[in-house]
Amino acid sequence: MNLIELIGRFHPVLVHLPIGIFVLVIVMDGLTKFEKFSYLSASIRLILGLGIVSAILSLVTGYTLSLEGSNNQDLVDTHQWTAIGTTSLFTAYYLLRQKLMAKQLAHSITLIFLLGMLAWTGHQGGSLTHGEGFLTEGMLEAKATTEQPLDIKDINQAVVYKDLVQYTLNQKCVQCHGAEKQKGKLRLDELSWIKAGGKNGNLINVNNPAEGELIKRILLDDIDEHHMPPKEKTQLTDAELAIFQWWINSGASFDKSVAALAPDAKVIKALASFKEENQKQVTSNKKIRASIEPLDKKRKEKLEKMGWVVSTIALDDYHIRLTGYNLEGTVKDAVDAAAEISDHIVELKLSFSALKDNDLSNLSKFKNIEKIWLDHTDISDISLKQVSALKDLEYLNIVSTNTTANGLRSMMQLPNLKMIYAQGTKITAEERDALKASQSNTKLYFGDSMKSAITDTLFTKKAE
Amino acid sequence: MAKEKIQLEAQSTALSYQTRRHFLGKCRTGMGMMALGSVLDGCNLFSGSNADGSLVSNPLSPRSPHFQGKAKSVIFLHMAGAPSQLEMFDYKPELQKMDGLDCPDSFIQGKKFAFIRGVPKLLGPQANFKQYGQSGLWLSDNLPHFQQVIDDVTILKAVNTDQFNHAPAQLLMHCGTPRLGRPSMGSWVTYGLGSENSNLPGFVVLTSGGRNPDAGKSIWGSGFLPSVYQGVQCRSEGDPVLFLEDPNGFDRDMRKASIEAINNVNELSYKEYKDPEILSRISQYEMAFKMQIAVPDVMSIADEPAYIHEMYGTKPGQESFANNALLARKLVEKGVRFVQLFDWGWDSHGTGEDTALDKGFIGKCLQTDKAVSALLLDLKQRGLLEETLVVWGGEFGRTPMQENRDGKQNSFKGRDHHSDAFSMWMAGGGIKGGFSYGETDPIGYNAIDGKVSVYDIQATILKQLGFDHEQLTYQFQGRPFRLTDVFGKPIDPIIA
Repeated sequence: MNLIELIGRFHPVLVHLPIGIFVLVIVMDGLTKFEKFSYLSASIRLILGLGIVSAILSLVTGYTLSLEGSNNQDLVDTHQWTAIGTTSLFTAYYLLRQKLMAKQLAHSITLIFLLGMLAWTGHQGGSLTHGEGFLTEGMLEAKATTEQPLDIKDINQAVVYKDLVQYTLNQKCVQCHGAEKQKGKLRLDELSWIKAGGKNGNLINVNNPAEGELIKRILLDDIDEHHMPPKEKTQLTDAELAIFQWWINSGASFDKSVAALAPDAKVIKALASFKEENQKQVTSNKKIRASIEPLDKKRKEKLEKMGWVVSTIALDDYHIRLTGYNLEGTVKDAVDAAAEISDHIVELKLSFSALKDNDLSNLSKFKNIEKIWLDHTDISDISLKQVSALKDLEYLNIVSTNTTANGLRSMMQLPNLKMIYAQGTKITAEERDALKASQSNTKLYFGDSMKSAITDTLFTKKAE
Repeated sequence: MAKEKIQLEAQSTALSYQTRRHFLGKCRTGMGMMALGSVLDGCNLFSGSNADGSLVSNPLSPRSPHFQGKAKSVIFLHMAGAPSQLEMFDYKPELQKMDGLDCPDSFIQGKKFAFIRGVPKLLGPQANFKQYGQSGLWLSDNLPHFQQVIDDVTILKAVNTDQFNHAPAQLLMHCGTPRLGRPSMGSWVTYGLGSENSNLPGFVVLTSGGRNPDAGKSIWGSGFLPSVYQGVQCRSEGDPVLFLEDPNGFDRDMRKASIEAINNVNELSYKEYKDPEILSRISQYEMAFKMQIAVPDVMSIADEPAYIHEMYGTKPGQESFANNALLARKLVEKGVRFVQLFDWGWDSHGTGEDTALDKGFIGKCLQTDKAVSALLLDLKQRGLLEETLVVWGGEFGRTPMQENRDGKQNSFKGRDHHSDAFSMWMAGGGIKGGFSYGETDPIGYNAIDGKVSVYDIQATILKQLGFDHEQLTYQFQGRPFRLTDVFGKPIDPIIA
């Protein structure tokens, strides 16, 4: 970090000065309207002046901070310009206050307007530091969960409009075209609104489906600004689009069932994948890990010095994948050092390391491990015993190790374990079959040998 | 005399860092900050050095992706010259019926071809097709081994590019533009994710010997990214990396001492000039030193068991595609991020026996089919396929018409370059298995469904690695650049 960055980092603290001072000015100025407080008037000029100075300092530090870049550059830019605007307005007020005081009403309106500007600018700043939607997070949460999972047993009996089209509209469109917001004066949450269309005309054109705004905009290239849903939002799937088109082509009936509209082969395919997609959404939700603070820099450097490669899972997920291809010193020391930050570690890779059986004695501390690689090492069932403490484990790789069927059997009890790769272990062919036959959610993979293909000689001769 | 010359050179080097752009860059914090800026620029008050006391942070140390990616490594198998999709994956029985007929006008009107002139004749598939696997995907008998892995693969049958000559099309495929100067996909990926093994390069390139791809080494270049991200070309015959060995009589300690001395000098000049390329150079010296031990080890296939050699069809000591396929597995297994294989000889125009679809082309298929299938099986049995995305393809496809170079029928059966629809496949790294996406018209000329562009392929690869392809950018010449330029959309239907 250099000095310029340091100056910028003062911005989040410094901004509270002008905000506080300006609010004080507005309150005091409001109070001067009452006889009792008229004496306040004399101080306002000085306080307002101080406020402007602090605002200018905030602008400078804010600009410096913006040079660091942000992942929400648009908001940073807006914030910058509204802040400059607000400061300018307060400066203008400083200069024109005497004249305004003569007109009571205009003065009051100005004060309210200034307060509004201040709040707006401050809110943008808050959104930048806390994330957009922080303010209303709790209020909107309840609404988000009202999204209904698709519940159709027999797709042929489903009403095309209500169960498929409106369902999709609810999922992907009403956020901006519904009761809360009506962008383009359009609502898609109820039949009557859909029939009414938006400010650009009719949604549905049965005679020329491609000309109705609904289909037209979905079909526009996604770099076109009129494309819907907007590029950064979830797009319609191919199946959903196919169903929309089929529905409109066959007359856009609001009450007919799937069977009544006689789907052709292509639509039947789309209906099947529509059903699959939407039911999948409900069942296979992305794994959500408990949030965790970023790893302390000193600790990270300590691990790196031991030869660990420390990779953060994602920008917004500070869990860690540890890889130890080039560990210095013993593996036991390295694993014990990693145990100090065991909560962070979700993936641990010790492939090809000098790992020995007793090196994993602290493994039970790594409660969050989902994937572990112990392949191409000298471990045996003793290490597998330690692995069996990992309740969150989903993936285990013990390729080319001294593990046996005994060790593997205890693995099959792990509740979340989906995949074990066990090629090149000491497990015999009969044991493999027995293991595979055992009742378990865990899949075992021992490798498939390459079958030599039968290529007739005439064919190979041709190639020569 | 010599001393004066060195001084003069040092002076002019120092001056060259004070360009107009440099000056303007310093002014960016506003005129008021200018004086402060020039005083402070270069004194990194709070960072200075890393934990281990060195100046350089490793440019290949891992960085976090935008979201958790399913793939950690990529193996890209490029069949340079563009294999014919009509003799491998895209089964067109209708075309067989039309074999020998004049190509309908509607297909050639307003079209430009590399070699076809006038009205060409349609050419039926020169191979027999059958359905394989649980998925029942069609494969030609040119690929006798591939059926064993077909249920792990997604075939894309309607890929489209806008270049119909080899070099620009290869550039487009790997660098996202048909022109020179942009970083290649492997460079973007190593820039974005770093490497998991500090003793090996993050991006390795292997060629089958014979001809290099037409677009030259730019398709694994780093463009405007720091040069540490460029592909390192390794060879399967002779020294794996050229000029890596110590000269005779030069031992490892002496090498270490000399690299340390050189890097000390480099660190001094970095402190003075702040040119990031100096950092690249320092880390490359360090990496080269580590690679002297690690690379010969990983690049030697002689120690692999016999059944592996049998499986891949490898012969140690040769330069061959099969050897490279095995090396690709070995490299990925050791944490290399991006492995790029180039094979050659797929340009089946039918001008000679080696480019005839019923002769040389079959040979190319047989040369590679076993190794490719073995690679997928081998990755899978080692539990690597889940995190390794394998991509196969050429730079474009081939026409359903028989090539008639300069209006005359070619002496052998061949097809011209075709950019509108061709096949590629992807496997592993979170891609569906036993799946086919996209469809061409009955003669395999145009995409009629599931059309995807080269940019979509790139966006998909980046997505599987955890990147939003629109956010993985690098600031250059005043604007952010990205691999997919302003195009591309991940192909979500093929993602498992």
